[in-house]
Amino acid sequence: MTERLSICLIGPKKGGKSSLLASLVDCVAQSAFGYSPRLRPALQPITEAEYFAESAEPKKANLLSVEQGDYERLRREFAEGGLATDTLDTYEYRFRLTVNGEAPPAAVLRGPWLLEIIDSAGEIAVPPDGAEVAILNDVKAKLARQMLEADAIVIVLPLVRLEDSGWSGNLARLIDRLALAPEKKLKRLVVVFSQYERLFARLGPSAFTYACDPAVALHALRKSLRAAQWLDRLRALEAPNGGASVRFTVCSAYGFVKRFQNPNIDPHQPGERRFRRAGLEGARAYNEYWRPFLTAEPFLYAALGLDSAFTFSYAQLDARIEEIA
Amino acid sequence: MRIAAPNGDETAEISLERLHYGKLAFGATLRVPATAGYGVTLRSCNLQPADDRLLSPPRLMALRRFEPDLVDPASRRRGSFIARVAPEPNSRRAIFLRARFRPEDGESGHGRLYQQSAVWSVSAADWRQHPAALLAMADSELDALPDLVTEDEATRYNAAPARYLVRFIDPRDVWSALEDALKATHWATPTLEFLARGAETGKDATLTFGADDFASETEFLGAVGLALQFLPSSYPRWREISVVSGLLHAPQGLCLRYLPSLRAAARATPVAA
Ligand SMILES: Nc1nc2c(ncn2[C@@H]2O[C@H](COP(=O)(O)OP(=O)(O)O)[C@@H](O)[C@H]2O)c(=O)[nH]1
Ligand SMILES: [Mg+2]
Repeated sequence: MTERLSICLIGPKKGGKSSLLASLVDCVAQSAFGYSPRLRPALQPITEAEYFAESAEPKKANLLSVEQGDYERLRREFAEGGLATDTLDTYEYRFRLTVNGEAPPAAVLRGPWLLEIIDSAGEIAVPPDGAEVAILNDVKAKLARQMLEADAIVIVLPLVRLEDSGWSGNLARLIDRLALAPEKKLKRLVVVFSQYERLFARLGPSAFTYACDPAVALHALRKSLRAAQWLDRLRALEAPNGGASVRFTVCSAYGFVKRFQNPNIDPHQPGERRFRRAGLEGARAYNEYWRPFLTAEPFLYAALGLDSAFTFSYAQLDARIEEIA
Repeated sequence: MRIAAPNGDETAEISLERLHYGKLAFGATLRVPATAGYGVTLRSCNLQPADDRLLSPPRLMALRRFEPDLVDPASRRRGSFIARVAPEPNSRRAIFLRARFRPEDGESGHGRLYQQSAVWSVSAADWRQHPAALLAMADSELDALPDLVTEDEATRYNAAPARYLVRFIDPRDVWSALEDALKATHWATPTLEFLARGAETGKDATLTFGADDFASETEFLGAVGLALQFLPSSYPRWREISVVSGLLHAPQGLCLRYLPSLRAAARATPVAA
């Protein structure tokens, strides 16, 4: 049976929301996630009409090869260095998700799932603390409604320099309001720390091996959560009282270089760009080297409620603290 | 308002309200500091915050969303331009918009892009009377430049409207300039025909010029200004006319457009789409 699910991306500006979304389809296509490869998920951008259509028949064409469409544009903008999402509207991207392999025995998966993922400027939901940001009232209201109607929320936070974030007060208040909202539909909430590859910048070709160890991610997450105590408020959202399940994970839209396995930031290019193949244009120049890292996790968990080796619950994060005590 | 200038010319004072949407910047290359987010960074005193929505760039361009690939590659630096009567029904204002994408790390940077725009709002009556002067002014003065972090809010949100004096142009001068253009250029005949046909048919149409027609946007705006100045006050579809440059999109109505990257080889004849 077809299920429609709405997922809101929330987080401070420049946290990596749009990049996370832009790399999602490639991440699934390259199986660059922490799920079993036997799960064989497939994700395809679809149009608004296809999202709302009664039947969810698979389309034959591979949409990645189609030059049209909002998602294709988002991918291209990401390849060209990124575009700061404006505050004049919120932007919906729609996908068809299927699981073609075997799910773990405990999970009952049917599908397909039609996903609506909502991207918006960080300034709208999580403005810098103390700043008076002039946002159009109807855009604020639209996003508030979309959050209340969302089945899942993905909060994207930059992993590095989390401490000197000037927006944590506003994000904490947003979480409190969400916890108190009785009319929300929220079932799942994922906090994802972006730009994970930066942690391994000095490790060269060993970087990928370390990044692929879930224990390293768990350690990094624990450290981040200690630096961001206000995230503890998310516990109020957890079932049984809050009715939602909360997970933490890490990801990198830039990822690690294929074959060479070092973090995919080219020190020889101005700005902070991924490695690219000389002589090629646009996205194709990057594809030879680009393998995103775990950017599928937040969305697959949000849609399926299925844990990967890199999604962690409060229980898992708390475990060691009890061990020590 | 009409004022008799000392030299006997008739001049009018035009009052321009201004609105900027984008991010604050600093330094010689106008970098965006990490703290700066999107917002209306300047709003002259006679505009209300409630007007922000009506003056939002995609709305003025009749787009769902303004995106980098809608900007003609040759217009990237200065941005896309549009002049028209504001789209809300029975609007009494005309707007001039310059909008572009610039790097957050400064004018010739390589970082993430963001949207920066500047809008002028004038009375629709002034636009009707002085299209040539207003297009010339917009060409020379309307730039999508970020406001500075160092400018205080009180000034940015209470800016006085800009005032310009424009001279009434003698209709005979307009006609003689146009007559010259009809003889010596390729744009004048199709433009006048386009406007005439638009009045006749009432259909939506776009007339697009390219690099072979005009060497620069300045030339294009000068030419269109002249053609619009020539239109009689009884022209039925004035409110539907838009003048567009460097934007790969045309609003409904009658759109006169310039795409500097367009070459003759790449398009059909410059007739209504
Ligand atoms: N190093 C690194 N930088 C990233 C990554 N993802 C995004 N960025 C950069 O972070 C900045 C903000 O990204 P963006 O997705 O626009 O953030 P948003 O404002 O939350 O949508 C951009 O300049 C991106 O190039 C990543 O995985 N690694
Ligand atoms: Mg964004």
